[in-house]
Amino acid sequence: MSAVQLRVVLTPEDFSHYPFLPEALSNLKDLELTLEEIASTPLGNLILDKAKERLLKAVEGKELPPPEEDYMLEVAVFYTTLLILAGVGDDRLTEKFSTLYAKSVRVFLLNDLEKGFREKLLYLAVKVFGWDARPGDSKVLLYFKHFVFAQPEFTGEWKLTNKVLERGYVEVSWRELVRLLETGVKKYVVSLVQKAEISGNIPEEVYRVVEEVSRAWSARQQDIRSVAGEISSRRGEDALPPCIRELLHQQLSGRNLPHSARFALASFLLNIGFSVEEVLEVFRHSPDFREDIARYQVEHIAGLRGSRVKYLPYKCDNMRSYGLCRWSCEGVKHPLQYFYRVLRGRRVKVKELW
Amino acid sequence: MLPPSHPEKREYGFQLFGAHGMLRHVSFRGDNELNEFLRTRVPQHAYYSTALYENPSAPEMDEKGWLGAELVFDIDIDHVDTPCKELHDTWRCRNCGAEGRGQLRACPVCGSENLERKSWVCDICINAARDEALKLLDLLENDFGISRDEASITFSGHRGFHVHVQREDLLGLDQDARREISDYVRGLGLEVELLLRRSKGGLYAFRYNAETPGWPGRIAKYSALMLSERITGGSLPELPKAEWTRLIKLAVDELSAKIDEKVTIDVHRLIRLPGTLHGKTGLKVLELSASELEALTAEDILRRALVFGNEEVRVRIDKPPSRALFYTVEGSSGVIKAPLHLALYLCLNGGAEILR
Repeated sequence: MSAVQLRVVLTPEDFSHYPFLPEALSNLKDLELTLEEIASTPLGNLILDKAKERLLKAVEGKELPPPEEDYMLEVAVFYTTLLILAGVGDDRLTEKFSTLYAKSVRVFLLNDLEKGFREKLLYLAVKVFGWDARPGDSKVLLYFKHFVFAQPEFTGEWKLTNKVLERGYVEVSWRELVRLLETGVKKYVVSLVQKAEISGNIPEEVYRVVEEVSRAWSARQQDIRSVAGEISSRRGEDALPPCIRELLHQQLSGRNLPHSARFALASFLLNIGFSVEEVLEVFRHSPDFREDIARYQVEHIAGLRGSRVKYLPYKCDNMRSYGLCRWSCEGVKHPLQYFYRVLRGRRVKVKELW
Repeated sequence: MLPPSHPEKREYGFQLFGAHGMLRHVSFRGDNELNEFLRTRVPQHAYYSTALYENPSAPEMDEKGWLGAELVFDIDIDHVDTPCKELHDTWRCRNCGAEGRGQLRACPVCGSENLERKSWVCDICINAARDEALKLLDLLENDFGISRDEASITFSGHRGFHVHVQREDLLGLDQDARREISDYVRGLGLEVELLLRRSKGGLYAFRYNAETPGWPGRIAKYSALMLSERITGGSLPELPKAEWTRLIKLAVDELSAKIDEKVTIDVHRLIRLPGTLHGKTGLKVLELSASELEALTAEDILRRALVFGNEEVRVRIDKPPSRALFYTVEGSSGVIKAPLHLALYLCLNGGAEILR
């Protein structure tokens, strides 16, 4: 569909910044590095160690280390990380790693944009992700199907309704394209893990890393379950409407929730009597948690900053429109209404809509 | 009956006369088998999945192997305010027993939403639904680049229209994507602040002009029409924010397509099979081209969907609607004379009885 002619010169630095590029992988293939070699050579061990380090950072929800300058090493570490993720086989960890990884790639995307390497961004969009993107001087026209695929938020200026959409193409700024590419990278990495196949037996050394990462991840999940347990025992999870329950579970399992979802969850919890500290404890499990930013935002929602207004969660109609709810609760127009009804001992009939 | 595309990959659902519940997870190897089933079992309602599956007859959703789903829109007159509802729709509150005419969300006496409703369809309803379908086709074409040839339209045989987008490249859209498209055609989530620019004296200018594509341009055009007497030098006047907010809301109410968003968002939906009869009306689920939808009157559409004859029969009915299909029904409870197709509708939908 695209009529874009792209001429891009990819440098070793690009392969290091974007090791998921198919060209980077074909370079690695030239090396003919096998899993056995990763397990048994000094270079292989270095690769394995670096991959493990990245995954343990992801388990902790910490920023990933910068890529290796030696692009061959970076590409090898990147793909080894994906193989280990495939070995662990936990979708939530894959999601968490991919989110953090995409955030780290965003820095290079922005750099390339600032240096005026727009064709590189287009190359990623069109050739790697298969999007239909048509460049203009100040804007890019992106086919709506690919825009909604990569949309980071479903409200405000990201909402499709607020975009200029003509004959199937959404007008986005180059900076917006970078944000969309970040989601593109995340989803692409997830798909690479899903497609990763290990042929033959996994060498002992690699298997040991898979086990170590799995153990660290389960221990982390245990912490999360204890927070969830506390919420249920203190407030009774049944009193939470299905939308908030779902958001809470997603949050506690380390999913990267959009801003609107975090707002809905934080404002709900604050309104049913959680303290700022307790709400922060819930958000500590976000893949991109930063205490200073999160604290500022939660205090803002609690009415301790800025306008000094304590925010209410969205009403049900808006929850559905923002994609945060797929239920209909009889006679309930606001999530807090559900909570108070159940606390008063009334049953609320819930129907899943889609 | 015209089979859907990829008939062997669809799940079918049927409600049979006299049977409770729905026969689901049915699949057929092709059109012939499907036709054979319809001819021999003669179901009261026939549905097929908008989704394509590897194993459409698997009883559990996660075993079916979802391959994609058509992008569909359902325009149901329940979502549109029409004056005719006072003529034919009734309600009774299960909580306090109050009753009345029209379409209400909650009982005006006790506030309960537990209402028993009886609704009918008439040419005024279908005309309003047709307008919504035409607005939807415009939005799909101008904004999404989905041409009229790529949209297949059916009259549902009851209270509205279904629009199926026949585009293989859109089959894989996930629920978030479908919700965004659904919100778009409903004009949902528009932010007034993003459309306005602060000007002098606490007034605001509209950022876009009528040439801009999408909702911004659509609203600019509407505003130009509404404010025609106040336009100077070809540009829209500057107004207080509250006035813009009101105007934008009016524009969205007028220009958005009133679809049932649940149908668009659901990727496992069963929808009526074109060419079969609607079991509540006896009308045919009728395929129409976009130009037919534009050119035909509501009465024409209903007449085309008639399958049963004109012969007059006597019907006993309690509280008939004042208007049904394209007929004005005279008289209250008792025996009335009606053509067979109307009599059947009164029976199927309203518990009337045809007298021999």
